[in-house]
Amino acid sequence: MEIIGVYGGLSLALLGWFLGRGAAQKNRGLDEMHDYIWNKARSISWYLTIATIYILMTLYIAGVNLNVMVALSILLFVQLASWAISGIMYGLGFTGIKLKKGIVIQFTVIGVFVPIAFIILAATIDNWKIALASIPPMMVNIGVTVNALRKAKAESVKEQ
Amino acid sequence: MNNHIRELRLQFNITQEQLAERVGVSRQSIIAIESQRYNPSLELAYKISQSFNKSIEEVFIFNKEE
Repeated sequence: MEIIGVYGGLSLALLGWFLGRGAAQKNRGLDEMHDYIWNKARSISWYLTIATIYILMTLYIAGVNLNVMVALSILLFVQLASWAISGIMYGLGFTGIKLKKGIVIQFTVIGVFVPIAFIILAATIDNWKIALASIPPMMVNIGVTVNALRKAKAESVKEQ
Repeated sequence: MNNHIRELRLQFNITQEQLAERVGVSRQSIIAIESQRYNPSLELAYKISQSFNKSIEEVFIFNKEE
């Protein structure tokens, strides 16, 4: 089961990355500003990953039962999610596309608190499969936000 | 860094998309440079200036305070 999760997730991520780069290349999107934004985002994601490593170490010292797979999954999630979110936020900042406040709050609250709540719940009842239940609300959250991003982008094109 | 890209575009009657195509970047990058949210590299600043047949100093204005 775990092997499907690990390699299935990796395959989907690589497919998404490949298709995304292909689409961006058509509009000359892989330019110097793209590199600048994603390098900045990577830098931020490393700071957050280091902070998470310290949080996990503290939890372990405090007696929380963390196994290698769980700890690595949390680190991978923090690294990739913070990289993606900060990259998108930088991109929006540079192009002046403004998302409605409600969408930003909804994305942040669901994106941050839902996984944390499920991880705490999973740790409390010592069943890590519970954490998987956070995936559907996260997917809906991403879908709603991407839709709002598209609308905001279309409105910004009209303005310029 | 301030710039005269918008005025020059209007003067030469070219769109952001056309300028982006000429210098090989995305339209989003041109929007960011025009609105002074992103400072281009020397190479891109040179390409933009060349597309208007101008020197870099004629298109970009360096602000010491920044």
